[in-house]
Parts: sequence; structure tokens; C-alpha cells
Amino acid sequence: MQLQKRTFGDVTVITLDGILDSGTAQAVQADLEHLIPDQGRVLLDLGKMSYMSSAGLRVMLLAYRRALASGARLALARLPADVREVMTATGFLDFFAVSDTVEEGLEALV
Amino acid sequence: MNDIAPRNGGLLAGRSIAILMEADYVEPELHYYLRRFPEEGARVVLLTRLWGQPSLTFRGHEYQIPITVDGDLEALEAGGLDEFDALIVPSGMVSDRLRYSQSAGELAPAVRLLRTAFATKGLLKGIICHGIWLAAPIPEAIRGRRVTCHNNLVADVRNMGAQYADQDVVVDGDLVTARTASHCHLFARMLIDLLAARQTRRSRLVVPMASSNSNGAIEPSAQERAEPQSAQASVNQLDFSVSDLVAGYVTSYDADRRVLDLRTTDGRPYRVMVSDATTAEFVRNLGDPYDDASGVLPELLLPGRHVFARGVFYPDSDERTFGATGLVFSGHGPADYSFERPDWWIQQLRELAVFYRRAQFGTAAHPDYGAYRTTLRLGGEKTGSYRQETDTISRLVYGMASAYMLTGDEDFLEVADRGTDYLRDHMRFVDRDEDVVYWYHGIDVGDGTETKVFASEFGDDYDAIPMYEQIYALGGPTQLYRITGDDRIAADIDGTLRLFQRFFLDPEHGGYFSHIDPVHLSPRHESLGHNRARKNWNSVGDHAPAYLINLFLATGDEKHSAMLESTYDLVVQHMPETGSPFVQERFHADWSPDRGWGWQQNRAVVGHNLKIAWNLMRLMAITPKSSYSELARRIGLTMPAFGSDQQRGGWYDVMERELQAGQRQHRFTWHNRKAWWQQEQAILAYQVLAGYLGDAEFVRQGREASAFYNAFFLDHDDGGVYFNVLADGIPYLLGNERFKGSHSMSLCHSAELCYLATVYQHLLLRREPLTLWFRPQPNGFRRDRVLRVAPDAFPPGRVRLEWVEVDGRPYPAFDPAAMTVKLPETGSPVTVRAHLVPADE
Repeated sequence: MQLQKRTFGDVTVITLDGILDSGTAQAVQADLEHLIPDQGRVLLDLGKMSYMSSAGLRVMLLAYRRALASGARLALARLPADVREVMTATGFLDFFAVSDTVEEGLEALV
Repeated sequence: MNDIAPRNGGLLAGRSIAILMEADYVEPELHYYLRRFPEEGARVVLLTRLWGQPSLTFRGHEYQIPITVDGDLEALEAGGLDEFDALIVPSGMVSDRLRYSQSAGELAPAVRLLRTAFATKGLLKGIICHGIWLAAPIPEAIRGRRVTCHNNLVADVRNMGAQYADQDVVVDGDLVTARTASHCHLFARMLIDLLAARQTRRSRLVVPMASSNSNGAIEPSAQERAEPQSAQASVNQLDFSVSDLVAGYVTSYDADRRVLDLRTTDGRPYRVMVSDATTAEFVRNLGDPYDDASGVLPELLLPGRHVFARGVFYPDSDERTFGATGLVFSGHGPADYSFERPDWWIQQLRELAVFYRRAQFGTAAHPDYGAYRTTLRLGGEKTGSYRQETDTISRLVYGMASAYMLTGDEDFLEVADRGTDYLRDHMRFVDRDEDVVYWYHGIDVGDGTETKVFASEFGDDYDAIPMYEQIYALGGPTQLYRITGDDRIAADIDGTLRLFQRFFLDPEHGGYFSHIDPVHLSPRHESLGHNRARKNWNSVGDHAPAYLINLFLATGDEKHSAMLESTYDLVVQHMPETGSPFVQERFHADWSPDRGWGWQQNRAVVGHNLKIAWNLMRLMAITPKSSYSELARRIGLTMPAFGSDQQRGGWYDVMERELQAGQRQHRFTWHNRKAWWQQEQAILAYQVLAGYLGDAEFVRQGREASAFYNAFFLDHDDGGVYFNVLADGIPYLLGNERFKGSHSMSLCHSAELCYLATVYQHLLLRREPLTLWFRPQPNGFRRDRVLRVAPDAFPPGRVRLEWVEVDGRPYPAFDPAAMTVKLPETGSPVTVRAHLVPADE
């Protein structure tokens, strides 16, 4: 799993590339802790994520809480169909604003 | 002369026990005391009337063994008893010799000492066999009190006005009596238990007791003479009218003057003035009409009858007048208690289940859990809240499943079944990475959307997964599993147990943590705050009552009995503490006590103590250990004096575990109200203890607890039970306490009480048969196709299965002793009725 950070104005876009499961969750968790800024706005781009397991869901919960605690605003973009399905079924999707493209996500965070 | 050294650090370290002595003592008895009490760490002092000698030597009754005594009881009379925790009057002719006086009618020094002892509430008085003779010159000391004595003396104690109880050992408040010297070991054991539970002598109160001298004139007692009168300067005198409740047993009723005399459970006398305006009723069950008793008072107010008198104390004199406004009788006949009728608790559960069925799902033919709401108002109406909490649904399922087992009403079974499906579809999180199941705190529903609430939002457990909620999420489905054997329920239970074993278990120090954080599933994460690396009563002890005993009953699986055993070994090892009659409930990871946590601090939840007692006794049927029954018995014996209201009946809520300087009663933490679930713990503790041990004292405590609950907690107007009542039994209906669906109210504990009270009352206490209903699925109990119908964990051989019906026809394939049914192969669910009877002992 690769994490990449870009900045568009004051929005931080973090791209998650690869598999988010029990094997990668701990590293991703640690990376996100660093990458999510205090305050400001964050868009997680999941377009290149090929799989998310329950451990991945807990990472998303952590990101949500991290943002909540620091006052950052957090949204998700480009959810693959099966990731969207698992997040919907488990109720995790309700925590986030969701958009189909990065551009829409940037607009939604304004 | 007593040179046997007390053991250092025993249960009774620092305590002193005085034993009165004279010639003709019973040697084995005295020699037992001289060693048994020091073995527990206590000092034993022998006292007699020395007649001016430095010591006297007495010979025993049977073998003329000499004992030299140098303690002078006459030197003790003024305040000298303060150094003792207990005073024993032994068997043999000791008491008769000690009541010798030179002038006829004069009280002998030993009698005066005994009178002082009786006036010192909190000093334990132990009188065995013929020892009770010493009380004959001061009958007021034992009038109305429950005692036992040698068979030859039964008439003597009755003439003294005491209530004779045909038992080996009787405890009446601070008075312990035993039958004969052959019972000295049981007597000593009781004294040890009671002393161990008392913290120190400072909790002692001296009650001035009016007494007559040889001319019949009233004279002040020794204490009254010794203590200066300071009434004029004192503050906070209760010299105003105050309304209250007195619970007691009738000692006499003068129908002409309408004067009713009562004795409270701990033996204190009250005089009640009855008038035309006094209402009177019989306790009644949910669903029953008002049952008036006012027309037959003289016939009802017979000695021994239990009654609640509500009224007003008027400050007419030092002895206040108590004018009754209302009486509630616990039964119709002299020894009748309405709630011991075979159908009482079954009817109550049916009424409760109907209330919750109607409140949640209305009159719809099939329950729709989309309409379920955790918050219900007093009358069962819903509020604007859209919250569905997982554990409240599970609790409703528990109650409905239990109601089906007792009544066979399939509507209740359907409510339980659909609730379990709903939990699985909406509240369950299957973590495939970790191969565990856990349960959301709840969901918010509204406008067709559903928002999961992942972690607890309760203040105590904020942003964590509390063990407590996971335990109770299993409560309902497990009870349903006993009935249906549904594989899907078994899979969810197993997945949740894996969650407990993998993330909540502490492999290093044993036991289960109380919380884990929802992201890392760790009990040690910083985000847990004051819940980090903690254990508590619920996370260790609550598995057994909430689901684990029921799961063991349904499966017979040894891994569940092993978990029961390991958790209760930890309860026995870590929770009782010297220095408080109450257990310690919260711990750090290494089991060092945590006395700084949130609201708990150094406080006790009375019901947790009682819950430990009844579950330890149930474990005696599964993994018996003497340490289990000893702790259960000790809690049962000591708790009434500390956690119950001996004036009004009923059981308190949260109390300070230790007395502070100048206090003689443990303080209530917030209030002296009585929560309904604490009453449940008391009723079950004493029913289960009585069922196992057959002790009349436990029977009585169970009755008194049931009497208070049934008299004051049933909501005859709206249905259900009240959450809390004031100390005097008036419902407390403010704020959250008006609700009837919350996590503590949702048909779990009220149903558990009805179910277990039915089971224990029928099969162990009153020895009456009981028929239970089951409805196994075609693939149910897949492992061995065996339906286990034991209603609870009973001592071996006490209950057997007499007959079984499947779909209304007699069915032969069952094991009477094991209480199991080999299920037929069928294509659809079958209805099984199992008829259980008390076994011949």
C-alpha cells in the first residue's frame, strides 16, 4: 500500500494505492497520523484501492476520529464499487462525505 | 487462663471475644472456642464473677477438666465491654450458676452485664443451649426476637416473649443463638462470619434500654447514668411529623384500642395506631385488581404476619406516635405469601412481556423491529428519539424468550426470533480479518436511513467498546438458543467469544478488560482514558448471569464451564476484602484495586455483591468449590445489615464501602432510593442460597425482599415496573427514571427475576413441578441433536425430568437425570414440553 500526498490550495489530498487489510493496516494507520493535518481539509482518494477488509474499516474510523479531534474536515473520493459496498453494509460510509471524482470532492470541501 | 496465641493476620485479627465462665461447663465446647477463634486471629477472654479472688478454677461437666479464669466481669460493668467485639454465654450450667444472687430478685452481676451487652447494639451476643437462662431475669432483652435454644428450654424462651425458631443456629440482628453444645462449631462459624463482615467496633451504638428494678420501678440503665444528658443543646432533633414506612411482623393487635405492635426484621419494636382512615390492601400482581383488606383487620393482624405500615410519626413524646395511613399485607393467610403461589412470577412475566410487545410493536400481527425504539415513556409511548441500542433489543429478546419458556405463547417466541434476526442484520459487525464478531452500540433509524453507532456513547464508556455491552448483546440470543438451537446464533456467540478471548482477555494476570478501543481493539490504548487497562465486576463476573451459564446449560460444553470457573476463581480471589463488608469492584490490570475510577471511587453497588452470591451458588452445581459457597454464604449473612433497609424493607443502591470517623451507618453515595434491579439481586440471592442450603434465615430474607418488590415496584396503572422508588416505596418518577426501555429496563432483569424466581420457588423451595416450553429447529443443536432442558444449574440429583411431549404427544427419548431430550429428525420446528419435578432426596 502506497500513500501519496498532494495539496490543492488548503486541501490535502491523500491517495491510497493498493490493498488495505490486516497486513497493511498498521503502517497505513501510522502514515495517516502524520499526513492528516491539524485543521484544514482532507480528501482521501480511494480510486486506486483494490481491497478493503475489516482492519481497513478500522483505519477509516481512525482517520475519521483523527480529523474530528483535530478540527480537520474529511471527505472520500472515487470509492471502488466493492469498497463502497462493504462501507455501506457496515455503516462506515455514514461518517464521510463521498464524491465520485477528486474534483467534485475538492468542490464539496470548499 | 488462656495462653493460646491468636494467629497473626487472620480474618479476625485485632478482635476480642469474651466468654462467660462458671463450673459445669461443657469441655469440648470451651476447648473448641479457645482454639477456633484464635485460629482466625481473635483474642479470647474468659470472664466470671471472681468474688474478690485473683482467679478461680472451674471444673467441667463431663470430665472435671479444670479451667482457671482471671477475668472479673464485675470489674467490667462500666464501659468495659467496649474492648470486646462479641460476648458469648456458653452451654452447660454456666448461665444458671452466674445468675445466683444473694438477695432474692436482685439481678446478678452477670445478668446486669448481659443487659448492658444487649443495650450495646453492634456488640455481637452469642448465646448457646442453656446459656439463654441468663436472659430470664431480663426478658425485655429478647422479647420478640428470633432465637433457638436447647429443646428443654423452648417453653422458657417462649415465656420470656422470644420467638422460638426450630433451627440449629439463628441470627436476629446482633443476637446469635444456637441449639446445643453439639452445635458449637456451627455457632462459632456464624460468629466468625458476622465478625469478619463488621469493620471495627467503632460502628457500635449504645441504646438506652428502660428496665425494671426489683420494685418494678423504671430506672435508667447504666449507660444513661454514665452519659451526660445533652438534649437541650443538641441540634437536628426529629421533633416534627414525618411520613414513613415500617415493615415488620405482627407481635400483637388490640382490636378494641386498634393498637398494632410490630417487630422489624432486625427485632426492633414499633407501635402503630390504626384508625378509620387507615386503608388496607393485599399485595397484588400485575394484571390483578385492587384487593381490599380493610374489612377484616382483626382476623388479619395475627402474630407472625408480615405487613407494611405506611403512616406519620408525630412528636407527641419521646416515644413518637405512629399513625397508620395504609397497610399492605404480603399474603392472605397467616403463613401465606401471595408471591409464593405457583403462577405468581409466571403471570408477572406474561404481563411484562405483553406491555413491551404492545409498546414496541403495537397490535401488528408480526413485530416490526424497524419500529423498535430504546426510549419508552412511563406508559410505553415512544419519544422523538430514533435510537435502537443493541443491548436493549437483546434484553427484550431475553425477556420474550424466557416468557415463551414459561408460558408457551408463540407470539413471545416470534418477538424473540425476529429481534435476534434484527440484531444479526443490523447490529452485528463481522471482522473477517480477525475472525471475530462484535456488536455496534446501536443504530439511529429515521427516514429510511440507518446510521451505525460504532462505539458506546454512554459517558462511562465513551468512544470505547465496553465488555458490558458485548456481554449483554449475547444475553437475548443465548436465551433463545436454549429454545431453538439455531446454528446462526451459535456462530455469532462463538465469534463474540473469540473477540473476548483474543482482545479482552488478559493472558498475563487473568480476567477480562472492561474496555477496548474500537480502532486498535486494544485494552491499553491511550484513547481509553480512565478505562485504559482496567477490569471490573462486569467484565469478569457478569458473563455468568448474562449469558454464560445459559450457554453452558444449552450446550454442556466444557469450554464454557472452564470460563465460568476461571472468572469466578478471580471473583473469589480478588473481590472480597477485609475492612469493608462490600466487595471491591474495580481493578487495574494487575488486580490492584482501583479506588479512583469515575463515579465508583471507593463505593459499592449493593446488587453486585448479591449477584456474586447467587452466581457463586449456581456455580456450585457446575464446578463446585468450598470457596464459592463460603463467600456466597458470607455475603448472604452479612449483606442485610449493611445493604438493606431493615426499617422499611427493600435494598439500597450505591453506598460508601467504608465508615468514616463518627459514622455508624455506611453512607449512601447519592440518595437512599431503591432501584428495582437491586431488589432482583436480593430476591435471587436469597432464593438461590435457600434453595441450595435450605437455611430458614435465607428463606426469610428472600421473602422480605420479594414482599417489598411486589408491594412497591409494580406499575399497576401503566404496566411494567418502576425504575426506582424512594426509601419508603413511593415511585420516584423524575427525568430518566420515568423511562421503561433503557439499557437497564428493557425486560431483561425484570424477566430474569420472574424466570429464575419461578424456577427456584417451584423446584427447590416449594418442591412443586414445573413445565417448560422449547421449540427446536429441524437443524437445531446440530452437534448432537440433544435438547438440554435443565431450567438452571441445579445441585446434582435435586430435579429430574419426568415426562416430555413433542407436538402434543408423549415422547420417550429423554434422560430423566441429565434432563436431556434426544430430538427426533423432523423437517420443521417441533414444540417440546418438558415436565420437571423435584427429585426425592
